[in-house]
Parts: sequence; structure tokens; C-alpha cells
Amino acid sequence: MDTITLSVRRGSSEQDPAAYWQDFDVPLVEETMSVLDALTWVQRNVDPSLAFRRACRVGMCGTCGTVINGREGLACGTRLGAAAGNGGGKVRVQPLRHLPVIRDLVTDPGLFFDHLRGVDPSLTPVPGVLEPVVLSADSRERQTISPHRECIYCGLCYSACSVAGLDSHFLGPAALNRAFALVSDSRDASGKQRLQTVASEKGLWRCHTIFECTAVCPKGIPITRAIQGLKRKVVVDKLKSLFRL
Amino acid sequence: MSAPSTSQQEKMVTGFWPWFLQRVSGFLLIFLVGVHIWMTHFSGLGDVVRGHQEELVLFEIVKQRLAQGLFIFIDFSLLALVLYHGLNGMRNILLEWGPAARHAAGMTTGLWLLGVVTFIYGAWALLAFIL
Repeated sequence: MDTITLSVRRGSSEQDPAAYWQDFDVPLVEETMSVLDALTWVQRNVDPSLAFRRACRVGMCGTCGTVINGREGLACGTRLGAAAGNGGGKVRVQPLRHLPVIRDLVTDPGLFFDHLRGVDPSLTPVPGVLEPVVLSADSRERQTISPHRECIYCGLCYSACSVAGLDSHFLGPAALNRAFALVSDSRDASGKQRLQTVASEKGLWRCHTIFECTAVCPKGIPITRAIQGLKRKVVVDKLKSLFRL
Repeated sequence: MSAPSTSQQEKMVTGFWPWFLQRVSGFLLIFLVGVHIWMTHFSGLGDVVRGHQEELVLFEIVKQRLAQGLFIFIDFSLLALVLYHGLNGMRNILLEWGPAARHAAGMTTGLWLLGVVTFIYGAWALLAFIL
């Protein structure tokens, strides 16, 4: 049986001077073994103190987001063998960036969810409209918003976003993506207010269209397109109000 | 580290105009720089090649050009837009840098002052051909 070296960043915080990389030799039990399987194997067989998060193990919950060989990914959705091939025979796993590290691979997602709350992420029903409001599957509106509603809030986009790393007040890709999904939805009554919220220095305009968020999204959500879509909506809104159309 | 509140964000709705005008100025500069490059480096090239004119850019030629209202408008617009686009781009870059971002208002004022002073200097150079 092949063995793969799993190198894990251990430590209690991002600035922990005692943080270190610890190598574990993990048997590649089967080809489909994921990085999460390897972490679980280490925790069960070598070091029970290894801290990481997991829940569904099938890429639905977004709990096991980490940085694998320098690239954000879900540990459950990344095959160990493939990652070892990309990493020169070694798989380096570290916690998500731009979030405080609690221990080892566990980060505090508070800031990420604070930003999400900042755009009021729940749908505000249009007053007087009776539920359920049907939005047909083949309508243009549904096709526009559907991909953006697939977010599992794993935080990979926030970790990959270099602007979020430079400015912790930047709303970040996930919050902006959620705002776009709601602003584009005719069933939501808070569009104008939401556009106001995202059209700040710490919102839309800080995005430099680097596409890192889109590149790492495990659900393939075109997040950059959502941000550009919001910018277009704000421009149209501003020009309309300017000319009082 | 915490997210800004909605009211805080509403107070900061200042990012639209720099973003929007950066794109508008960039779009206009494509045409104005094109006109500038054509007039400076290609218009009259035939006369230089045929030996009717010694050099492409001569004080008298520029003076003749700037005697026309259209070129006065083009050159002053070019000066203003280049300065706005360049300094606004610089502001955007500096906002990524902690110390500058913490003093964003002061930095923006400083860049506006730099822009105005540079515009006056550039206008002075242009007026030498006009007056």
C-alpha cells in the first residue's frame, strides 16, 4: 500500500510563534481517499489532538474548508492521491486564510458571517403577495439567480480573496454573491436598500475582479459575475436617480 | 475584527463615483490618447519623409494646432482626464495599504491637491502655445 505524507500546520493562532508543520505518513487505503479521510485517519490512529472541522463528508455542508497545497478546497472533495501528485508527493494542509485560527485547521468564521449578516441575507417578502410565489424554472430570472443560490458558505472564496486579506472590513465574495441573488430576485422587497449596503467603499468597489473567489468555489458559482452584476445594477440605479427616470 | 454596520456603510457611499468616473475617463482616454498619438507622431509624417518639413514636432506647428478651439479642448481634456485617471488609480492602489487606508480622507485630499497643482503646471505649458 502506498503511503502519502500529510503535512499539517499545527498551532493555536495565526500569529502563534510556536506554530509548526507536522508530517504524518498516511496509507493510501483506496484511490478515492480524500484529504478529509487522511485527516480523520491521523486523528484516529496517530494524534487524537489534531483539530479540524467536518460534518457531511460529501461536499454539501462547507465545514471542512482548508488550504491544500496553497489552494483553498474542501478537504472532503479533494482526493489525497491527486493532491499528492500536485504537491510533489506531499500534501500540505493549513487553515483558511483571513480568519482567526482557533487551533490547527479550525478557524473562527465569525467575521465571515458578520459580513454576510451585513447584507441582510434573508429574503424580504414583497408585501401583499401571497405565498408561494412561483418563479418558473425556465424563466430568465430563475436562470440568473439559481447558480448564486448554491452557496454553502464554506468560506473558501473569502480565504482566496486577496482584498479580504488586506481589509477585514471588505464584505467579501460570499456576502456580495448572496446580495446579488436577492437583488436579482423579484420576490425580494429589499433590493434598493441592499444595493445601498453593497455600494460602499467596503463593498463592491473594493473588488479588483481577480477571479480567485470564482476559481476556488467548490460549487462553481460565478461569484465575480455576481459582483459585476451588482456593479451594473448600482450604476443603472445611480444614473436613473440622477436623471430622475 | 467586525463587519461594519449598515448605517456605517450607508455613510460610506462614496465609492461609486471614483469607480464610475475611472471607467468613463478610461473610455474617453482611449480616443483622446489616440488623437494625441496620431497628431504628435503620424500627422505630417509624409511631409517629413518627403523633406518638406525638418521635424515632426515643431513649435510653430503645435502653435497652429492650438489656435483651433477643438485642439485646445482636446489637449485640456486630455490633461485633466490623464491626471484624474492616474491619480484615482493611485488612490485605489493606496487604499490597499494599511497606513494610507487609515487616512483615506487625507490621502484623497492630498491626491486632489497634487492633481490640481499638476493641472495648473500642465495648463501653463499649454498656454505658452496659445497666448
